[in-house]
Amino acid sequence: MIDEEILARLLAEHAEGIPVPDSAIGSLLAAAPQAERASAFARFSRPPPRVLAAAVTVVVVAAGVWVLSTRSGNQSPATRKRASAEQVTPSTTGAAALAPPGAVPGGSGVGLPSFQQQNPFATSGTTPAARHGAVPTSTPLRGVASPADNSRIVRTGTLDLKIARGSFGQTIGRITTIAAAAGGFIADERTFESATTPTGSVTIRVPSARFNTTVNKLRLLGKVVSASTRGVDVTGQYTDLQARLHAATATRDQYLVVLGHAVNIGDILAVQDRIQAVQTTIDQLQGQINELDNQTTFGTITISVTEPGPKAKPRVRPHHPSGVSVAWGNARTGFSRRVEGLISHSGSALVVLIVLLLLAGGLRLLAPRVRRLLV
Amino acid sequence: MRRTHEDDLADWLAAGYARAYRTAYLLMRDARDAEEAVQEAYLRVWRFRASLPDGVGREPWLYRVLVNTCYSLLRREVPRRERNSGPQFELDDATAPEAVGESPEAAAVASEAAGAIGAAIADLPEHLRATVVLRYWTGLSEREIATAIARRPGTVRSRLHEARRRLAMDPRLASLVAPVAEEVR
Repeated sequence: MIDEEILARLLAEHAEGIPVPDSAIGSLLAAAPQAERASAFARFSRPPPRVLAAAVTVVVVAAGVWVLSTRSGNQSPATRKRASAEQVTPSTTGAAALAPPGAVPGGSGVGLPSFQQQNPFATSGTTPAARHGAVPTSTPLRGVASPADNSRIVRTGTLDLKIARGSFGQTIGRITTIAAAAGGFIADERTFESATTPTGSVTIRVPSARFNTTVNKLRLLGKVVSASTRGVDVTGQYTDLQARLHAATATRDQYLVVLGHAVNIGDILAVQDRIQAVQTTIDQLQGQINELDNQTTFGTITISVTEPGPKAKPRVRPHHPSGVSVAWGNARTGFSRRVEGLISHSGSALVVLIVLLLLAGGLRLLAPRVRRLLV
Repeated sequence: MRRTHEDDLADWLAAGYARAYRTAYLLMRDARDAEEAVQEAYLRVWRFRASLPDGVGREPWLYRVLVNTCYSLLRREVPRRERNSGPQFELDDATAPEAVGESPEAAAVASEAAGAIGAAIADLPEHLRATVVLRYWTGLSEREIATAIARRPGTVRSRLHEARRRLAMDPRLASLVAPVAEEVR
């Protein structure tokens, strides 16, 4: 067993050799004057005015961006296309309308410069935001709805096929082949093969561009009992989600800028708390966008396959027997019934017979004695 | 000016940052993760400072939050993938504490042993590693460790025993175990 003292000493030596990074919390707390820290903590219970002002600015800017983005998402396709073209080109009007003011540090934004002017703690150097590498870059925001993203359609279809008897397995195999040839895949497959009629349902996902071709190929596999296809335009929803994502990202970047200028623990912790909330929103929006991406990239076709039922058995025609056969049948039935009756009553008769034999035996033994007594 | 509870807490947190960071590093073996864990733990402590006990009761509470945060980060999928990219520090001449009064050879041997103990502890399972680090580096008592890891003191003793047994079997620490064995004989 290793000695505790040695273990503690060596572990302490090892740990003391681990360099401690310049922490925002540690260094700021160590450097901040006691009076200021006390006032900072006093302010922490009620939000500090600087943080509050910055947060209000960020929220107003984000709301403005979101409203503008939503409007652009609800415009007609032509207007949206024009708007997106304006956003893509580095013109001042479109970019200024959509880019959150202050997203570019020291740039032409509205919110940040005013905040910087008001913020007496605007310093450079190692800050939490800088350490996170989160200082916003000067990359302009991408267009909320680029021309390539304008068409977002979720395509779904159902086919109900009746196929030839005995070709169930082959048909399922062909569906798989067709899906693979179109660059798609089997999303779900349920088959039920009973002794009579096998049935099954296969859901395939194929690229939207090959949706119609695939449906036409599937139609040839059997007799189409019913078919339906549907396309839902989710462009507006997609654009809205993207706009909200951009707005949330801009908000987070703004908070990171605010975090970069915070110099006391109260401010840092308050802003970090809000950054976490915004990050959660960003993750949720990104998830929804990914889901829509998936749905619009691949169309979904559900094929129900049914074999016809087994051939019905030929109905037996009613038989009308002749008089002789009826009499012969009656005789046969009567004979068998009588025999059955004899057998069933033989048990009782046997018991009676045994009793009678016993009585007879008894009388034979007693009769001489009785006669002797009487004589 | 009258000092408030928050003033005391802030001072205490600042004073204990290095120790908390090194504890987190020993548990996670990654500088970025350790820094993130300590910041997250401090944030939680600060958020729930109203329920934080005063005096000596603070420390187990802080390390309970820290250990839980470390476990959460260790089990998080994405940082696990990226963990290897984080900087890892090795004891070298620049970072090792100077052994005053020791010869260079003795200092080199001590440095090597310290590195070996770090590597051996890193190979321990999480629950044993946390117990060992809290006991022999952070210096918590068994009862305080029990509070920190939310287990009974008996469990702590058992884990410490098991950890020391495993460390004794580690070939890298054979030189540390042998003298003791000889002493026993």
